[in-house]
Amino acid sequence: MGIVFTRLFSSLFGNKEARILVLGLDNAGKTTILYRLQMGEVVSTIPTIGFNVETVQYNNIKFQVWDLGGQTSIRPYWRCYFPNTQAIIYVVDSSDTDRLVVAKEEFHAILEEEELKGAVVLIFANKQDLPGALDDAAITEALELHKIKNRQWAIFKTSAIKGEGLFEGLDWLSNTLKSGGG
Amino acid sequence: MSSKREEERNEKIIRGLMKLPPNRRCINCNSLGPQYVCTNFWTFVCITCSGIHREFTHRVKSVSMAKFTSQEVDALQKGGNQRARELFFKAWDPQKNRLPDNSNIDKVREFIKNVYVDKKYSLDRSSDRPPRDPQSLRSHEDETRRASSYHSYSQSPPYDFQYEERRYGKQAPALTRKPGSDRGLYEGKLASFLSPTHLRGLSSDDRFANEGSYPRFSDYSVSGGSDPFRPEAFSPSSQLDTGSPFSETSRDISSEVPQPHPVLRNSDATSRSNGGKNLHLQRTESSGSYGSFDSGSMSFKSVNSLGLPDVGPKPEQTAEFSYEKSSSLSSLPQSSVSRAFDGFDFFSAPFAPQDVTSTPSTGSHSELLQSSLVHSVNFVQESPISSVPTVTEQQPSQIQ
Repeated sequence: MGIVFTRLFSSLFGNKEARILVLGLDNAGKTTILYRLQMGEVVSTIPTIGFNVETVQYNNIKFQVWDLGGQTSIRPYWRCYFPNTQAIIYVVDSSDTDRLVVAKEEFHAILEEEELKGAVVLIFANKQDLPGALDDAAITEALELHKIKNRQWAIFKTSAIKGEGLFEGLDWLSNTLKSGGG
Repeated sequence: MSSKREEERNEKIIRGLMKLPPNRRCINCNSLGPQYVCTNFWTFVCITCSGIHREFTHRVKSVSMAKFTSQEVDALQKGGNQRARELFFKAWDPQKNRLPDNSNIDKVREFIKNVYVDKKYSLDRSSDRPPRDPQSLRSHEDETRRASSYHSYSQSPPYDFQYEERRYGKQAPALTRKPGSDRGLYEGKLASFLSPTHLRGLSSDDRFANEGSYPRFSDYSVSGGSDPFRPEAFSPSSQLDTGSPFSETSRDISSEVPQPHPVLRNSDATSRSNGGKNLHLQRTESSGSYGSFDSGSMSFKSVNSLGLPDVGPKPEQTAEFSYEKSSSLSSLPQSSVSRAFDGFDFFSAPFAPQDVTSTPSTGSHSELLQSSLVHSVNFVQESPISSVPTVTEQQPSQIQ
């Protein structure tokens, strides 16, 4: 209820808020992306146990970005954060070709979630700075994004280390959210 | 992918490996109780170092929060901190070099780069081209050895106790061993460390290297709804390597021996029954150069006398055998180098150098060093006591 009021209030004053989950396999670069967005810097990270949360103000939207640990045994806890989520940023290590299948499975499992039905999906094909990284088209194929139904989605090539692609992704996200998606 | 049972078994084995003295501390920063495995080098590292490893695109896995396949557990049994040291720290002189403190990220980063990326202390040109020798036999025996030692270790006196012994030169009778009985094991360990998983990593690196000229961020593709999105751009490589080649085999093994503890006893039994023959084989192959493996042998002593397991029951090993056949004893020359560093017993390094560096004259230490080298080598060849060569090094620093 409170959230509804907050959102109503914000929308009246033109300052939208959005709750974003950053998900993906371990070592995809989620935490690095979060802090790159928030501080504009590359921080030294350790594997996330639990979550990191930061707010990122961008394009008149206050993104509350939740970066959840991606290791196998803690992925089931992602669902605890699903309610009231407007968007998912799904991060893929584009150079980790061995685990693309796992990445795909996790991704589609997320899409199945009732609580995320209304969330828009932004995919970051991350680690484009690494040699051997697959491009967005290859990741699209590997994740079987064409199977996505009734949902707005986009994929961007990113390099959190170089800071490339991230804000383009947020641009898409803010436009999409402003236009009513999510 | 794997059954619950197998997962549990795997975790138990890993937990056991974590109790081995060399694995009880982060290989990089020496902090206690590392909870992560770096799967490039099969080392146990702390969470901080795991983070830094990731920066170098090394893969890390949490013991408690990731799932390990049987294949990975295998590799980890063959690997571990001790073996990684034998490989990456051959030229590491604990008298001169110190492990970084993990509160200093930059130092750790530099360290990891030096050790694993630049291989500064490997003294081992062939580490770029892993030697494949006919010693997978041994690498297999090793694995069992590890497993059994894990079994015995979890019930044996705590590590600190053994450390005290070495440090103060007490000679525990249990530490004696037949010289040479694990000479081959040592060699085999090197070989097995560099076995397929590792190779696969290398080759994928090579593959990456060829694609360095990727166009970056030329266009951002955005797609709404369910557009068929650039269907022509499918990359074949995305499907490569996804299945693990050994998973079938691993499953077989685990189904043979479903219970964790019975597994170990089982392998003990096998090694006993086949020990004689294999031991003989091993000795003839490695005569004259035994004893380079020291600290490990302390913990593994219980197995030394057991000998080697039967190679038969595990098909994957046989495969590996033929696979590694191609280059013969190429790792033998390295052993002379590694033997020279026996005296240091890298495992105790974190403790020893602290004593040493606090003393004023470093020059005399290098002399001590030299003499302790000679000692340890001699000991190795003359008496079973050699399993504690560190003693020779430690005593002088105690006196001061």
